Amino acid sequence: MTEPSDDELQEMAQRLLGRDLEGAGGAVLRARLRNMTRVKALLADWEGRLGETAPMTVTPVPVSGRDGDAGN
Amino acid sequence: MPETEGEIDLAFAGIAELAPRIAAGEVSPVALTEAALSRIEAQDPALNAFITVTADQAIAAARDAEAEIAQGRYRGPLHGVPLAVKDLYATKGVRTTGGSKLLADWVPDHDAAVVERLKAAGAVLLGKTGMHELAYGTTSNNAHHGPTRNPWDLACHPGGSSGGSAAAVAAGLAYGALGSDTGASIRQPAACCGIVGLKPTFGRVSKFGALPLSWSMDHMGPMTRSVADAALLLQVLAGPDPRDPNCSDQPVPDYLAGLDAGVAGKRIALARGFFFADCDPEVAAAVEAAARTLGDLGARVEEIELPELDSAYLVGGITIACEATAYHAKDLRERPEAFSEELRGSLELGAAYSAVDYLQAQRVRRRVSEAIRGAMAPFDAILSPTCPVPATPIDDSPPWHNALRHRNTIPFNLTGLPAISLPCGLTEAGLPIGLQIAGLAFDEASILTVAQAYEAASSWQNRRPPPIS
Repeated sequence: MTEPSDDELQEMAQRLLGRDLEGAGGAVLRARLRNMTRVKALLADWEGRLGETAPMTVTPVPVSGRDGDAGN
Repeated sequence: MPETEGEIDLAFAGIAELAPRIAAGEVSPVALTEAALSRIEAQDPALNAFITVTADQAIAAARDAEAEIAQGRYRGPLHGVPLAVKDLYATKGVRTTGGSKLLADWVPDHDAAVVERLKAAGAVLLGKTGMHELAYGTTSNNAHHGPTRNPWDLACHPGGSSGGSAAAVAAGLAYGALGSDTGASIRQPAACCGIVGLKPTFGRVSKFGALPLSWSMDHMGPMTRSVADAALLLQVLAGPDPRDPNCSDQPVPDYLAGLDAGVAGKRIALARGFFFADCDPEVAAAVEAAARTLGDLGARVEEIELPELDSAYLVGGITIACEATAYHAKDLRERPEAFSEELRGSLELGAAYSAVDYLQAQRVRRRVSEAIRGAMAPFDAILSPTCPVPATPIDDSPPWHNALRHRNTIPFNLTGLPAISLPCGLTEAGLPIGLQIAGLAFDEASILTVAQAYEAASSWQNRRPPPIS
């Protein structure tokens, strides 16, 4: 996918945060905004492939044997 | 007590070396604690590894330990050993800030489960270590407490969020420390500071009393100067706790029993692709050399690519963002000025995801986790660089490092699988490089055994940062 340009990131920052990216923490926020764009694209890409998959829930990790058992 | 006694440099001695000498009355917990506090007093102004030093309580605990041991009531290998605790763990009667202005004056009336366990084992707690604000970040450059510095180069960050614990252990200010790891925060600072950091399986160690960042991604674990010490600490920390709904009642094995079993015949994978993309060449070369060392020790080392890692990275990011924003929603609304600009922005972005986004991400998470677990199942351990890049100057970190510092570690938070980082080299600039070894659920013993074999065959764990004047 195409990465957002600096101008697009600035526009996102203004729209979502009401500020620009020049202040403290700007580099971190720029990375998080870029990831947000990628996350939205990823979820759209997965949407058609999830079928009946239920969400992972906040539970302990199951013991997964070497035979590939991977319940949850 | 002299800093060097017999063959052991006491400041940098391992817990496994010290414990029998403490048990035998040859090494005094009080003297060890006083020496550690002196080093903190001398060096921490430069490092800024501690937010709070509990000198009086530490001396009192050391005196109690010494008296108990003298009376024949030795509790085990942590008895009388000075340790440090990340400032995200509740400590009864001791300020717990989370590296945040929000909690600047919070003095808990209870201990976190892991702190209870350390105290019950007789450990001496030296104080609370610095961290990235509320654990949401990977440099420990804290807007409220100032930056923690890397003992290998004071101009550089120590990694994060458990940067204070990593710096304290690396500099010889503590014999071990507690960290926490939501996407990188034990292993990446361990890699940056040249120490060992172990993120156990999700549910292996109780989260009770630890300030949450992301309920489904948070893991508690030890940071030490050797693999054996990580095993010793995990032995104490692991086990069921009904106060943590995610804590498992899986039996806790003896992590020391098979530690020296070696790797002959073990099937180990070097994970290529994702983990090596945009990797610093010195980091890549060090990890490849470590894989060859394990091969020379008799392991069957194969190269593989794990599936769905790009998805794991992104799904991990949205999961942390949404859960962290949910946890801090009330304070974000009512006390926004108590957050740094960086953290407030990060949490506000979390609020920009929808409930549908979060749930879709958890559906993807299930699929991705199953795929990764399935690909890892035939192997005893999976090798990769812990962090694709070494530490960088605090005020001059390349912007793209923000996405790289947690990239190689977060897949094992998403899947909940155990992973350890240990030193495997130094860059030409003298900065540490970390080797990540990941394994199957609740099989910390296997990755500890592989790590121990590598550590015994290399000498990186014996390197020390330059003295801090």
